[in-house]
Amino acid sequence: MRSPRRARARAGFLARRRVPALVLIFVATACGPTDDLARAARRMTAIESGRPFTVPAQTLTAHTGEPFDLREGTSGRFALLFFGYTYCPDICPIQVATANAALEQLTEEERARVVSVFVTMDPQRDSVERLAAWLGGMRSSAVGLRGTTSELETLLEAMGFVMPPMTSRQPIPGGTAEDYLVPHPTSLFLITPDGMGRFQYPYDRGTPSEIADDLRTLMELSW
Amino acid sequence: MVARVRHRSGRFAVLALVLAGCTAASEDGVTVQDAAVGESVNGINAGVYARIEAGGVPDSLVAVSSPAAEKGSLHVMASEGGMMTMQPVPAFALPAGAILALSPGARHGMLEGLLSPLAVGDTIDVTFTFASGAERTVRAPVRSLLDLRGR
Repeated sequence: MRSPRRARARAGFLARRRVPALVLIFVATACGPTDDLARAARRMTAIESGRPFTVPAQTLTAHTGEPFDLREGTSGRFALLFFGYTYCPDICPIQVATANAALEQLTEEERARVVSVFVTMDPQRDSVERLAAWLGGMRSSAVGLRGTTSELETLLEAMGFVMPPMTSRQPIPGGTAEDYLVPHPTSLFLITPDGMGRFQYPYDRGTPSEIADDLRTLMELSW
Repeated sequence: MVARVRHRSGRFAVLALVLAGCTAASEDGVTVQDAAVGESVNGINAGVYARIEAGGVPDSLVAVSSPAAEKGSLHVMASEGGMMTMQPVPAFALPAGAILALSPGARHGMLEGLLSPLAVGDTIDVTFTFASGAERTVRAPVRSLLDLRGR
C-alpha cells in the first residue's frame, strides 16, 4: 500500500514535470494482462503451477450421458477441475465438496462464469450412472466425466502427469479383485477462461471462501 | 486449578475425575481422543480419524473396527509422480510417549463394507486395537466433509 504522503510527493513531482495524466494511464494499461495476472496471483490463496498446462481438447462422457469436450466445455469460463474416484473415502469427496461450497458463495452472476468438473480416474468401477449418483449425493453441480484408460492417459499426459499403469493399482488385502486403490492427483486445479491451468489448490490448501475470493479476484481481470 | 477446586470442595474433584474417565485412558495409558468418522458419500467406506497418545511403553496400532462395518484397515498416503494413492499398512508404530494423528490425506483408518450409510450427526462405536492387546472403544461422531477439511 502506497503511503498518502509518498503519493502526494509523487503527484507534486509529476505536476512539476508537467507529465500529462493521460500518458501515465497509457503506460499503466500497456503493462497488459500478464502483469495484472501476476499482481492478482500475489493476492490469491491458490499456488501457481510450476508447469502451467493448456486444457486438452479431449472428449469424454458426462454423467448425463452426453459427450463433453474438456476444452470446449470450459472455454471462456473459469473451471475447478479435480481427478478422483467415487470409492475414495476422503480426499476426493472433500475436494469436490470444497469446490461446491466455494461456488455456493458466489453470486448467481459470478457462478455462471464458473464450471466445476470431476474426472474419474477409475472408469472400471465408476459408470456414468455411479458418477451421477455420487455427485447427486453431495448436491454437487460438478460435471462428472468418464473416459477410457487411453483417453485419461492422453489427458493427464497433456497436463504433465503420468497415468499410472493398471498394474500399479493396489489390491486391498482381503478384498475381491474388484477392490483396489487408485492413484490420483490430489490438487484442485483452477483453470482460467483462456484455457490455461495456472493455479491449483493442494489438498491441504484453500477453504471454500478463499477459493471464492480467488475466483472474484480473477474475475476482475479482463479475459 | 484442580487443586484449588479440591481445596474448596471435594465434590468438584470427584467430578473432574469422572470427566477425565471419558477419554478412554487405562492402566497402560494409551488414549484415543477426538475420534471421528467421515461422512460416507459412496456408502461403501469411511475414514477414521483420531489423536492417539501412547502410554509409557512402545506399542503400535494394528486395527480399527466397528460394528457398523464389515472390516477396517490402516492406510498411509504414498506419493509418486504428483499422484497419491492410499496404501494399506499392517500397523502404525507408537513409540512410548508419542502422539499418532490419524487425519484425511495422511495416515488414517478406513472402515470398509459399511452396513448402513453414515449420516452427519450419527455416532458409531469404533474400536482401536493395539499390538499389546489393549483395546479402546470410543463413540465417534460422523463429521461432514467440509468439517474434515480442517483436520
